[in-house]
Amino acid sequence: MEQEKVHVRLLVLVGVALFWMLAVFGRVGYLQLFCHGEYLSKAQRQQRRTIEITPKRGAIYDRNMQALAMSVPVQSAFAVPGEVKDVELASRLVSRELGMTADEVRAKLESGASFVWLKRKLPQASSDAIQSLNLKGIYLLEENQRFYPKREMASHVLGFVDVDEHGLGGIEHEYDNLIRGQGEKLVAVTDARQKIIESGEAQHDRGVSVVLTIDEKIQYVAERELAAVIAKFRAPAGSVIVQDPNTGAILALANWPKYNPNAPQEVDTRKRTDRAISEIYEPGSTFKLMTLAAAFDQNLIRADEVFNCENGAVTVAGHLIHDHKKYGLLTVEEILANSSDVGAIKVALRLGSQRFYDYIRAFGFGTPTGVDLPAESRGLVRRLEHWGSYSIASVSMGQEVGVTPLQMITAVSSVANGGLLYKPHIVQEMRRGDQILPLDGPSAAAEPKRVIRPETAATMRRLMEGVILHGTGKNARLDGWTAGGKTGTAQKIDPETGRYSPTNVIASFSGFAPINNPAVTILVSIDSPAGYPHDGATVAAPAFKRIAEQILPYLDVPRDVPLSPQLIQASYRARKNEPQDESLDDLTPVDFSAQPEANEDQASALAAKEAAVKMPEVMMAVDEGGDIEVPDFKGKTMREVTMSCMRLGLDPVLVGTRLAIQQTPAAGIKVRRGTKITVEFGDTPARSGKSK
Amino acid sequence: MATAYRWSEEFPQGPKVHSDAAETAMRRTVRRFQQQMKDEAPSKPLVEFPVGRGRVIGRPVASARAKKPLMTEIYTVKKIDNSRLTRHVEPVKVRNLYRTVALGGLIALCMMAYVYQHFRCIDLSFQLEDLKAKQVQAQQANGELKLEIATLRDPHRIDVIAQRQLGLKRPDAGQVREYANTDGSEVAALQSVRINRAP
Repeated sequence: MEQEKVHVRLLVLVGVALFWMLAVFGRVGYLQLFCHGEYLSKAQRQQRRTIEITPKRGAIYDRNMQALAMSVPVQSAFAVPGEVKDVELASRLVSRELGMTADEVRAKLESGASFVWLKRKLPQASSDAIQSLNLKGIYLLEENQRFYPKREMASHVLGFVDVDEHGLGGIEHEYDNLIRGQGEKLVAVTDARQKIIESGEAQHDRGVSVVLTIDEKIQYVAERELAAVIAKFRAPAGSVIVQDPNTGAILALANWPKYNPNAPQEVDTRKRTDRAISEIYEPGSTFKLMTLAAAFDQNLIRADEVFNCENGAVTVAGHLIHDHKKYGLLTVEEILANSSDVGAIKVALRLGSQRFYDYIRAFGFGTPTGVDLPAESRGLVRRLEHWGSYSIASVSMGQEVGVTPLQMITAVSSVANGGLLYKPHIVQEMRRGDQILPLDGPSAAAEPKRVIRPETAATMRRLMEGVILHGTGKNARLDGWTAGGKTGTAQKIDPETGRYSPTNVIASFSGFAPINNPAVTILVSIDSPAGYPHDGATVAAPAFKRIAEQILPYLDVPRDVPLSPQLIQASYRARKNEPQDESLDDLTPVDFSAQPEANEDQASALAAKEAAVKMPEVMMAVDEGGDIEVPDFKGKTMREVTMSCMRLGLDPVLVGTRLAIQQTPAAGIKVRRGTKITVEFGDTPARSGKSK
Repeated sequence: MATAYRWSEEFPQGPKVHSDAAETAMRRTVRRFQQQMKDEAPSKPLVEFPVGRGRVIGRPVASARAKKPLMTEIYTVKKIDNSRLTRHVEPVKVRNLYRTVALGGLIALCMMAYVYQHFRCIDLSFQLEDLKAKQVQAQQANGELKLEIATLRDPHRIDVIAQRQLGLKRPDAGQVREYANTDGSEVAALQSVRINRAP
């Protein structure tokens, strides 16, 4: 009886346990099978946090890896209006830190939106202040801001970005997809306190960095000299391009007016236009290079062939065309040197329209060059069938044809490099981290195209040198280097009359240096210079000279002609006479941000004057061409000989000891700077006799 | 009046007597107890007596009015000597026991190791995240410094400092002398050689 009771109790206990277990497992099964998704999402919401990684734009560097554009993280303030309890208080506190009015902030907080930006891209102080307020509903979000540390430098090349970091001009626009990078959301695992346990690694790298062919120092020289010309001739606009003729790489591309890409909204669209690649102008006399090159290439003319320039007037298809001067008989070389319109017309007439047109197209006019910059213009070259009866005459002297400065310098470079037309390019390489990416698309390298024969190019280079030596381009003559070029003064169409304006011109100069192995091609184009004369020889050629004389030594291009002795002696004398009483103690800091752009050139002139006054006497080795007379070193010590040679710019080679007894070259012979002077040292005859 | 002794429930096996001396002592104690029972009142509560190593708890059984107990019940302790018995332990069982214990220990160790590495992993994850945050901060600082360097290297800024503050002037074309190589004899002329040339 007792045992039966025990069995019953056990059975009840087992039954209850089984029921409990069934209930538990049943519930577990139900949750696992039917509620899995719901609870999984709940758990993930609780345990995971999504972190948004804003895309960071790649940097833009010059050819020497100097940063021209880069992005740094900044904070932006936003609000979730639903979470803000005291709108009045929040408006008052936040507006003070953000530099806004309380009404503006209140309007945003009462907008009813679930998310509203208060102010983006805040300065560090403002974001710190907002952080310290610790207001519920007011938050900060990390974004990136684009900075252009060199401000206006190469602004048209670099372009700019909008507030959402989308490229809107220049390289920023052209390679926006690559530079921008990709935004990404990372899922982080968090603990109960929302502290991140594991956040994983971002799958996408930052945007691609672009290395340009631009050299910031050459760019600065080009911009400074352009600004000086603009200021001197009160011109509204202008461009300077410096190109490597052997590769087509653009070393500098400067435009005026320029703008600060850090604040692009402060200038109108016109100022942001890259005139060097999108502005079409009639090239004027510089186009005679193409006329003559085509004729030379077809063996239709010789350099010493004489043309009758008709005393400055020629009639073509019933139209009388006047030359800018009354020339009679001129050789082809003189036609180019003196920029005779009649001579160029006669050469073009001998060439014929068809061949002339073919060469114009071959030089790349009428089609985009393919440079890796946006908004390039194709120029304006009318199809041959649309040419008028005297179009050949007009085109031969650079009228009825529209070119961009980039097209013109590319064509001149082809003459400089021996007849190959390179595609101009401005992107040298692209990098993602340390990895160099292959260039494709618009930046892909292209095989150069032969336009003229090397012999033709050599002839043209010699003729262009003649332009500078004894033609219209004398103002472009360089000290220390040979150079070739061509001036151009193209009349602009007066929009009111529809005729060529007698006052508004585009003064230009296209040239290269040195002649035998050109290192740079430079184009200077100034729109509507004021005053008179305002031709290319007066306006643009001196700018070419100043730019070339700064760039060539920077690029270590060896001099191929001696310097002008008069110029050297004059500058040396001037320096010797300068007052030396002022020391270099003016080290007051300069606020560069406050310097107005318009005063830059005045400031430069003022600074030059100040510098002339303050200039200390500096021991310089002076190049006096082949005009240095070797002194007599006999009987002098090694120290005296060395000092004397250093002072004269000679290179002493010292042999032996004691006093100088012999020298080569002998005393009195005139030598060039850097000539080695071998001086032999030993006992002088008198001393030798004594010893004997 | 009968006096009854019973063993306490606390000592179900009874007092353990293992020697003659102990047995003698116990008997002596019982006798003394009986004597005491005669002298004391019958309604005395249970009392405890030390017997050898154990204790004896008893209550005198006697009439309340009688001076002498009617009957004395004596339970003698039966001596059981198991000292000659030896426990036989099977080696296989011992080995199995050891194996089981070792296996259990190993499992426990593994579980502890798992738990340790789990928490260690979480701890390292926290440290990793802290380092990542520091890395991001360092990268930001690096970017800001690079920006500052780039700003300071602005050619326009340098030009203005050179001309306005230092009173320098751009050299004329003939004033810069450049050497192809700089051996000993040309060192003195290096002052006129531009040092910031393009790479």
